[in-house]
This record gives sequence, structure tokens and C-alpha cells, in this order.
Amino acid sequence: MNKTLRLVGMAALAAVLEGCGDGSGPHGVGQELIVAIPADVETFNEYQSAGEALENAIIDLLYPTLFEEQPDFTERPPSFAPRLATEWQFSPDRRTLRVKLRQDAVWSNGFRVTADDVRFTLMAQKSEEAGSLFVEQKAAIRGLEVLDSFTFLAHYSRVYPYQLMDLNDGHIVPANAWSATPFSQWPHADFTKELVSCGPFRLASRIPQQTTILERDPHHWCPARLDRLVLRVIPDAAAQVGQLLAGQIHFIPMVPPRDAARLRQSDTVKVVSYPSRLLGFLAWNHRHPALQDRQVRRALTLAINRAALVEAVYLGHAKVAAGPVLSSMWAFDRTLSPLPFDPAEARRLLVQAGWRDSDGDGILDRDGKRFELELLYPATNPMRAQMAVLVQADLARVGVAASPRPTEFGALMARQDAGEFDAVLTAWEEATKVDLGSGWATAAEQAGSGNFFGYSNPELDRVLADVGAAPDIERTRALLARAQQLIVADQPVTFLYEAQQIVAFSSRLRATPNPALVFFDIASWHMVPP
Amino acid sequence: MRSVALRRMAASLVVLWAVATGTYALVSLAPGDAASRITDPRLPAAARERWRRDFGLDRPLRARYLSWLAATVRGDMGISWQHRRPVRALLAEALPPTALLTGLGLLTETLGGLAIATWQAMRPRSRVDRALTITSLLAYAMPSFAVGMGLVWVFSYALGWLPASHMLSPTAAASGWARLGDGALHLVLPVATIGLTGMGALARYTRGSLLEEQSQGYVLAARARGCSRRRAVLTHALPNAALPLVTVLGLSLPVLVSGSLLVEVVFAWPGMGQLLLQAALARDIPLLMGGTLVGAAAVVLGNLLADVSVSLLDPRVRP
Repeated sequence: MNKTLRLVGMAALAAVLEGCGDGSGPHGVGQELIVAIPADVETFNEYQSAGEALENAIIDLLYPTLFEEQPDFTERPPSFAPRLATEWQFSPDRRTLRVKLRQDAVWSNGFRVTADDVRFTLMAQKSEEAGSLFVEQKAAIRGLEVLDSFTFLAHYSRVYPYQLMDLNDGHIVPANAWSATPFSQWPHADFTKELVSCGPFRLASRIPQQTTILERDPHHWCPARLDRLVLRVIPDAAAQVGQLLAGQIHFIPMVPPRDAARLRQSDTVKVVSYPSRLLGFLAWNHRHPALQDRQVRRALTLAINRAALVEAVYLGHAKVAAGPVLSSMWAFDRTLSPLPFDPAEARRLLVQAGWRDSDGDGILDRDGKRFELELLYPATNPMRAQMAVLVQADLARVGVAASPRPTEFGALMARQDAGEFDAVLTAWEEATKVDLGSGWATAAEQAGSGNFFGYSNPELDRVLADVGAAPDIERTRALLARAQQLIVADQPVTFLYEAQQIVAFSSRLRATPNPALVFFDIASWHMVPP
Repeated sequence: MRSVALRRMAASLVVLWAVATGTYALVSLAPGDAASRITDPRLPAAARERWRRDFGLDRPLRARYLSWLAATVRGDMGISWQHRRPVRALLAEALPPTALLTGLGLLTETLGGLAIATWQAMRPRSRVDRALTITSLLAYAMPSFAVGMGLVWVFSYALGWLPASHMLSPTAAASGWARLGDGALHLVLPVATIGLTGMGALARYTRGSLLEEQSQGYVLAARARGCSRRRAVLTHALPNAALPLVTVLGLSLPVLVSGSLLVEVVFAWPGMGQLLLQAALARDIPLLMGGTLVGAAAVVLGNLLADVSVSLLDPRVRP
């Protein structure tokens, strides 16, 4: 058997066990961590969730995945360590994956976690009736064959680099408890009542909109050192900061940059920032006559002082983005760097494209039409409001009149989908699975697509199609680099920033939050005496 | 009198229907819907379409409205799209905390406002009167979130005397006096915020009415008969000056059910204001409509109670 096709996880198991709460910690002595969350958890069933990052992180405390994705995406596509699965191995043709599950995993209602749970989970993920957001992602997994209670085969319809990742995405849910609810009722069913879970924590009590208390599950194979995790809903960011400083809470998963410096001055608080996966950009509508010209889009990028914008808004907690792949990702093309801030060159390119200030009013015009743009941003986002004003000022200096327009989020999404906008200040969370196709390939239907701005480059489409069929990671890396070069040359959007995530916590907490997941390795977290 | 009551009830039902229909139309026709919350660019359009279908958003507006109306008439407010729980249960959970907070807030505001105004009216144009006038104006002008945050900084963060947010501590006892005490401590700052900000306006309003009443013949006659200023103000002028306050308080009744949003956000109070704000942002139409109906019913009831109270207290306005 080809060694490169064998992916046996025993070595990684040792690494994870090293970080696992191995029972040596001081649990059982009132170890409690109080975490501030800005909004209540809406559901503990991932297959009802809209995919909000913090909610997913909380669900991860209650439900297992097959494998543990490692935060090594900076160097290579993420590797996996054992979690519910202890061993896995691909067949020589890579169309079948044999997975062995651990035998000591138990649901909170006493049932064992078995291969039937994994098969039931895949059925839920592939169910259109259940309203699953995973249907397309799981399309290449034809089905699951249960060999015995703890062994199954996953059958794939094709071979591609992300087979393991696609199988792993989504948490395993209890067939014994949830199969009683038909999939057609899942979109409206309440799974919180008598929640059956299998994580380092289990639900202890819950007062909606106020407090959810998770307690350590003593039967979990990797027992947590914390006894209780208290999730307190505190919508106001200033109140979160005040309560952390006063010692009333212990952990804030997302600190606004403006508060980071104040928190750093405190002896009782630790502030950690690390590259998040948030990519911010200014999307230009390619249906707009002026914005169809890539030289014009390039000029607009050159006209915006992105370094100053990032510094003013993020106060050092972000960097200027160079392209569609985050610079912290393995697939980032290191030959790329952000376009410079060069208003003179921007003016030259605009003149070259026929834009001149013929009436001397300070605004460029062509064929009697002034270069005016409406700049949309979400009304509830004060940082984007600040960015919109800075962009407006920079564009005004080269003769482009941009009008910032705060827009209610639902209305903003509707206008995006309908293509009724000139420019939108937006951001998206990049996945560790580098997939440029969903955001940058020519979209068959723009409504609801990542490529809502209508960008199209046939050469890029060809490269991205090749990425999907690439047999190995080196070929994938080369193709992704080519794709990034094409996108940056076209400037379909102005790449603005790669934000950092700022986490603040009590200096009594020993924790290792990281960019993969805010509660990564929570089993080892613990509090020390003051 | 009976026919008047019946006419008012019929008019109230029409108002409720009109508010509900208008709100349903506005919320449904506004751009965006429940699927707008799915922002992951990797998800294809089909995933969002499935969400729309699950919530019935693929049906025509008229069909959706008629289904909702028929269910509501039967007493079924539906399932919240956001929380996957019955709307009635969610409202039943959020109403008591809001009623408790705003009820105590209104009580503090009313008693405090009346006390200050009476004190001032008995010493018009004195230094104390001027000082209280300026203080009332300041309290009136200050936004409630600023007052709330100020109180939190002083009494919770700096002095550590009171909890900064929520209804209960995470470690609160399950029942008994300890739990009651814990709840009472959590009420102090949000109630004080509502009371202090409302007190200023009420004191300004009542002081003016009291001074006006004091110049009326019946008060002057009482004074001429040897009645003390204190007695003249408390027993003669105050009941008449307080009449318009009944209307003001009646109109405040909707706040008891719809909540004081800013105060609820600052103090993380799990009430109606926060629940409905989240519902609006998530385009959760069943929950939003349930909250709207309850709020509209409170407006109608508040008006009715105010009218009845005024007519009972003042024979001149009886039909």
C-alpha cells in the first residue's frame, strides 16, 4: 500500500493526549470560568444554526467532531488529530475511508456514541428537509457503511484534497435522542429541552437571554479541568470590558480594538491578539459602467490609503490585505504585496480611462456623467462607518464623489443579492479550506453567491476548475498562487484589511485561545488562585 | 355607558388589527429576510433558498399573512424562527422581567418626581428650588444609557457594592430568601436609572402645575382661611395638579410590556426590549408580530385606563 495514502492518526493522538485534561488538574474544587457573550445561543443543534462563529465554538464544547482540526493552516492544509475517531485510513484509490471510533465515548443520557450516530449525522447534513447548510459540502460523500458499532466506511464519489475535512465538518449528533424528530420538523424543533450531548461540558442550567451554565462532563474521555463554564449574555461591549476589569467575568472572546489598550494597562487582565480569518474589502459592482474597467478599479485601490485606514480603525490590530487569501494561510502567494497608496498614479489611470474634471467642480466626469458612487455599509457597525468616511475622503482627493450610506443589515444583503449597489464595505470569515471558487469564480447566479459583485474572468475560472481536480497539494498551491495573481491584477474589489481577533481574560486563567477556535484545547484551561 | 364601553372595545380591536396588519406588511416588504443572516460566502444560493422555504417565505405574502392571522385568532402565535420555541412562551418569559423593572422604575419616577415637585412648590424661587430645577433638567436631558453606565461605574466597578448586570448572579441560590435578596440587589441600578431619568421630567411638569394651581381661587381661599402652605399644597393643589399625570402614566403603560431597550442593553436585562430588538435584526416575523400585538394591546389598554381614571377622578370630563 502506498504510504502517502495511509493516514493513520496514532502519532497525532499522542499530541492531543498531551494537551488533554488528563485528570491531574484541580477539578472538583469550584473552578468556574465566566465568559461574556454578546448574544444568547439560539440553538445547540448545529444543523439549525446560521453559522455564527461564537455559537459554533460553544456547540463544539457539547458535541464531538470525528477529528480535531489543528491550527497549522499557516504552513499546510490543516492536519487532523484524533477526537471521536482514533484511526482512519484511505483505500488505495482514495474513494473509501475506513474510520475507527473510540469506544469510551458516551452521550449524556448514557448511550454509547457509535457509528450509527455518525451515519445519522451524515443523513441530517445531507437532508434538504432539515434545512441543512451542509448539503452541498457533503455532496461528494456518497454514503456511510457501518461495519460494526465503532467502525464505518465513508464512500466518496470523487477524489480531491479536502476529503477528510469535508467529512469532518459538522458535529456528530445523537441518533438515539434526535432521530425521533423527523427531519422535516428540524427547522422549527426545540432541541434545548433535555439536551443530550457528548463533550467536555454538558448543559447544567439555562435562563434564556441571561445565563447558560455548562458543567464538566465527568464521563468525557478528555475531562476538563474547569468545573463550570458560565456564559453570561452581555450585549454591550463597554459593559463587558467594565465587568472584566471589576473581576465580575473572566473571559471576553471578542474585544473591540478601542478597548484593548485600556485592558492592557490592567494587572489583572491578559490581552492576547492573533490573526483572525476576517478579510475586509470594498466590493465594486461590476455592472456599474464605470467599474467594469479594471484600470479604474485599480485606480480606486491606489487612491485609498489602506495603511492609514487600518491604523485609524483597528489601532494596530489589523494589517493591509494583499489579495483574496489571508497572508497567514498556507496557500497565500508570498510574491504578492498590497498595491501602494499612490494618488498620482490613480489620477493618471482615471484620466487614461477618460475621466476628466471638465467643468472644474472637483468631480471627474465622462460623457457628461459625474463619477459618483454610493458606498454602503452595515448601519450597526461603527468601524465600517469610520472606514466609509476615510474612503470617501481619499476618493474625493482624486475626484471621485463617494457617499457613505449606512444600511440595515437585511436590506444590505437584499441589495447585494439584487446587484443594486455601487460599492459595499464588507468582510467575510475565510475558512481554513481555501476555496476561491465560491467567491471569485464567475457565478451562475449572483443572488446569494459570494461573488455578489459580478466579477468574471474566464482564465480564472479555468484555473479554479483545475484546482478542484488537482491531485496533490503542491499542484493545488501552484494553481492557487496563479489564481491570486489573476484576481489581484483585476482588482475586482479593493482588498482592505486582515483583522486580528483580540481576546481578553483574567490573569488567573491559564488558557491558550488560538485562531482555529476560541475555546481550542479548553480541557486544559484552569484558574489559579489570585 | 355600556354602549360606550362596547364601542371602545370594538374600536380597540380595529386598532389592534390595523397595527398588526400594517406591521406584518412593513416587515415582510422590507428588503432582506430571515435568510439574510447566513453570510458565509462559501454557501451556495440553494442553501439560503432552503431556509426561505423552511420558514414559508417562498409563499405569496397574502397567503402568509392569512395563515398568520388565522392562527393568531385561534391564539397560536407560532414558533420563533430564531429561537425555535413558541412565541407565547418567549413572551411569557420576557414580560415579567420587563414589567418588574419598568414597573418599579415608573413607581420610583412617580414617587420621586411628585416628592421633588411638591418640595419645590412649597419653596418657590428659593435656592433649593433653583438647584432642584437645574438637577431635574440635567436628569431629563441625560440619555438613560449614560446615567446607567455612570451608576455602574461608581456603584459596581469602583465601589463594588452592587452587581453591574443581569437579574441574578450565576451562583444565586435556586430559591428562598437568598435568591430574593440577590434579585433585589440586581434591581437597584436599573430601577434607579429609569427612575432618575424619568423623575426629572415628571418633577418639572408637576412643579409647573402645582404653582399654577396655587394661584387658583380655591387654594387662595384655603390659605385665607388660615390653612398652612404645606396643607394647601398637599391637600388642595396636589390632587388637581396630579390629574394630568394620570394621563401621562396611562400612556407609560406600554413601556411596562415593550421594555426600556437602552436600559435592558446596558444592564443585560432579559426583557421584552432586547427580545424584540434581536427579533427585528433576525427578521423573526412570528416573534416580532407577537411582540407587536402585545405592545399594541398595552397602548390600547393604557389609553382606556387613563380615560377611565380621569373620568372617575374629574367629574367635569365624564360623558
